[in-house]
Amino acid sequence: MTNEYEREPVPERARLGFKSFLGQYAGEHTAGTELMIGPLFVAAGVSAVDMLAGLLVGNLLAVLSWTFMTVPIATRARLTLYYQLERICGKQLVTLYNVANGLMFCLLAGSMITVSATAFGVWFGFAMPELNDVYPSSLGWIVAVVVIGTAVTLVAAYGYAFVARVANIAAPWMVLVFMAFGLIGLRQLGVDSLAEFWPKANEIIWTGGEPLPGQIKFTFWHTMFFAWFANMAMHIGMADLSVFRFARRPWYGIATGAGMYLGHYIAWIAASILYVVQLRTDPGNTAVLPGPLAYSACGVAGLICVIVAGWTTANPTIYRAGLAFQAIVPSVSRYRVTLATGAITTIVGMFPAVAMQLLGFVALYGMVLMPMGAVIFVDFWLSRRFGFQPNYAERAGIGFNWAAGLTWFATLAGCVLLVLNGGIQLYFVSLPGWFIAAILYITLSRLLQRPAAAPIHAGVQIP
Amino acid sequence: MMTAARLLSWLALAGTIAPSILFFAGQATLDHTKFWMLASTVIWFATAPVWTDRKQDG
Repeated sequence: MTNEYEREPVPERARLGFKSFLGQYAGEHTAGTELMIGPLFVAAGVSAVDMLAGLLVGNLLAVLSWTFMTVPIATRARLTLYYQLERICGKQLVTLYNVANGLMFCLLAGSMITVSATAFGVWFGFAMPELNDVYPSSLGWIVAVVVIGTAVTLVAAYGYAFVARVANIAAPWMVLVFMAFGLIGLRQLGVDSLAEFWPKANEIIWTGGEPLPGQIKFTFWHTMFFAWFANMAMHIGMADLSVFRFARRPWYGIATGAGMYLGHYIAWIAASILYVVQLRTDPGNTAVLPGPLAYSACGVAGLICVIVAGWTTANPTIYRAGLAFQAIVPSVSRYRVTLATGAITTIVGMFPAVAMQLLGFVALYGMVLMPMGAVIFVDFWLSRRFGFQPNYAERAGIGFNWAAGLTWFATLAGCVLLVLNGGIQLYFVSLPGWFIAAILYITLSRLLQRPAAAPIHAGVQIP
Repeated sequence: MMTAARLLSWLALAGTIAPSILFFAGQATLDHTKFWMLASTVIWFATAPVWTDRKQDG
């Protein structure tokens, strides 16, 4: 869907109904990485009320961010993120954005391969990484990651459509397997009725004690902000402009609720319950390994779920990373770029540090791409009100809009400083960061734009 | 053929979640739960492509 109408608004005839978005978001956000993220909440010593209420509110804020920030722009401009950015920022700055985006995709896809490799560990019995491991744990682990990474890369390079088909078919089944993880885990913890859930949730599941060594203590605010910003690059960062430009109506943004509440609520809760079962069976075993967790609850069906969930989400991620990198070297074929991207991703997958620190990485991913979302938002809604021209790079015929570029770099520098010296944790910094970016872009645009830029020539209606 | 595949698929989805509900209620052992979940998984992946692909083609 994202390969069509790349440099023009999506026409009326190509627009899609509500159900298309419901299915897509439910499938995409019930992924292999949910099995990593859920246990990490337990490792972070979250309490039951902080977990359940934090996720409830945070996911609601994510749905509202899509509905009120991303989709109104997407359904008015109906352009891809990249074309919209190119009109504002210029080709050279978009290329830089592509590098950052592609690298983040590689790290994310690497952690998905890590997830799939843990399923192979159950079958072949090699030593798997521990919670705080940084380097590969055994030769068997490296071989498993290389085998999976090679398979995923080849499929992304040759037959991406096949994986998209498997992902669509697997989605409803996967959601049910995740629910089964939770139900089986609850029974194994001694919960056999709904009335017993809340007391057991407080006493043995999310007890709110000290975090495991090497982990940060999570409160309500950590959980809420994590759930809100887990897909920050997509909503506030505006990456999903490319998806929702096909939506017939602006309110279709609420379809993202299917992904948030199935994947980022039920699946995270279920995965954290399985981890508690593991900790109670063997308190010394703090490793977060989706393969063994799933196998202990659902047997071979659980292992298949881990492999399919990791594979079907790693594939489009490598594909997207390949597209982002190819924009930098358009003379090299997408096939070769995807192979190179897959090789980088496979190497990342060998190092468990990314997957085991996934909570922090996901927050970092949102932070890096967030400033460009603020630039798009301000440019679209506020430029005329603050007396500067929207889509300045296109109007002025420049390849690098310094107002947007400096906004991005300065916001990131400011966020890093706030995290390192300002006492603000990574999970929260993107909220002030968005306002810093918005104010910087307005100020710099007013300072740096020349008043007599040529009138816009593309046939895109801008309110 | 299509109707039979669709019916089997829906039964397989029910068979994926039902064993865990029975286990939660204390009506099934974990081994039985794992077996029926695997059987349902095989049936789902064997039958769902038959009618979902046709639907997409149409």
